[in-house]
Amino acid sequence: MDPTVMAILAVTELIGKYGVPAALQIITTWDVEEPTVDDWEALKLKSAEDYFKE
Amino acid sequence: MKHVRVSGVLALVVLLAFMVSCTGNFQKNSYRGLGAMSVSYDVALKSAADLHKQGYISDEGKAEIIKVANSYKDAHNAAVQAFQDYLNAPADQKETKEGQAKVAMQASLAFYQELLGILTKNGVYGEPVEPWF
Repeated sequence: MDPTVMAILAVTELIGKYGVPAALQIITTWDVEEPTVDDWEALKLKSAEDYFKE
Repeated sequence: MKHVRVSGVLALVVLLAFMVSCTGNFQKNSYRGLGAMSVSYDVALKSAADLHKQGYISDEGKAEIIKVANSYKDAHNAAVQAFQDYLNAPADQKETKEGQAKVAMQASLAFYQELLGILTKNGVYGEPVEPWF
């Protein structure tokens, strides 16, 4: 299968299963070639309590 | 308890990412692995909060999820910090810092698996995605 078609199908599947924001975040993370200190900082997680307050 | 299927937990993605991280560019692949885990954590916790709001997860379940999720969060953030330390380390300390980062990453994976167990027990589970990368 053509790589472009495969990529489109994969992205469509990701969006369908996890939603646009999560899909974009996965793609963005995957696209980083040389992660900087700031890139790493963006991966830090917030406290679980925060999710239940929203 | 009624189990509700929620697209959220990317178990297979994470396992694949960690398998990939064993080879090739150590730092880049570790970044991808921890990145996938951070997305998974975010989506899963949002799903758990929604289910709790709808009454599918009890207050006891919520407390259990929060406790384990915070343990995972601490381990994950420690692993991220270890990689930042590795990046900032002088050349003669790189090897030591790399070893510490690998240990921290493995520890975070153990906590992640525990979190998956608690989420599944409380009815939050998702379908693994195909290894498209």
